[in-house]
Amino acid sequence: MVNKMTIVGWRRLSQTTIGLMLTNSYVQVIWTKIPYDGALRGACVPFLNCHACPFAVFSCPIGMWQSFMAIHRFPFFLLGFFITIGLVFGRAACGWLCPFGLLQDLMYKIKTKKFRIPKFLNYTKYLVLIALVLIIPYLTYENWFSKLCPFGALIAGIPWVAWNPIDPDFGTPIIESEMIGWLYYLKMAILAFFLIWFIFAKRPFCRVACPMGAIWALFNRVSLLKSKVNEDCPECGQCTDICPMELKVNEEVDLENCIKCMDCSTCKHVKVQFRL
Amino acid sequence: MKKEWKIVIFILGMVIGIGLLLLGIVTVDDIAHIRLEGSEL
Repeated sequence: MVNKMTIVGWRRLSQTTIGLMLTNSYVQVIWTKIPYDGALRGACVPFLNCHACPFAVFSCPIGMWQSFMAIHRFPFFLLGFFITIGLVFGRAACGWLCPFGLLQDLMYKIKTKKFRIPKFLNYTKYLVLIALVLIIPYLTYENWFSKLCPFGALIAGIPWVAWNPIDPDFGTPIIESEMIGWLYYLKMAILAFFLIWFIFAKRPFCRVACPMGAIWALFNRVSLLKSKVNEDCPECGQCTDICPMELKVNEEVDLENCIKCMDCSTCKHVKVQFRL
Repeated sequence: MKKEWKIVIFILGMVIGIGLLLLGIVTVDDIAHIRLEGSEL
């Protein structure tokens, strides 16, 4: 029998405290009106977290990579970061830390008719990575993924426009009305599209559009953190029912879309290991 | 994929990854650039 309470509980705790609150803990912005600019800005978190969020302490690795591409600078540190973290943990940050993943998990709980995502859409996240994070910023010198990122819209675009404090240095509103153009509304439309999709399908952004997930997915097969399905698995399908990525666990565990959340390991036939 | 290949890829990857990390921190100062860019709205 599957008992998923313990692992899911730990995962929610980790997603909420580390992924959401710790990385967005700069509450001083409420009275200073100026975002954090300290030493921790030089560090990236291993998941999407918009550095333009008023409360953000760390930087977003995808935002930084496209920024390096836009200024035609080779991202030594970021590539090293991706390779070392990816080789040890694979996609575990998607399951254990990412706040956008948490939002998707929670919105899927809304009771309504659910739909499966076609398998071929699993590959579009690589297209997003190559086009919006690498090639287009390189060619246009602009950060196009940030301009369209739905999570950035949610935790940075909406809060800044709604709050819009007076800049203490210049005495003018931080967001000028002319800054809110068609691109802002396009970003909001993309966010609305995904928010609705979250209700009807399991983690659609992670599976279809997340460039961070696409990077970690490349390391999933060789990463140290692994799950193993025992040969005596009766293939009852309960682990597939609880898998947040809708995987056939006995066939697809540790492949590209496995986020190593370990929800399936609550079944006695699935073991989590640290091994090569 | 054979286990031997996984071990080779892992060790080679870690060497390259840590090398790139050190290169980015020590010589080309990527951290300063990330801090600067990350602070811009």
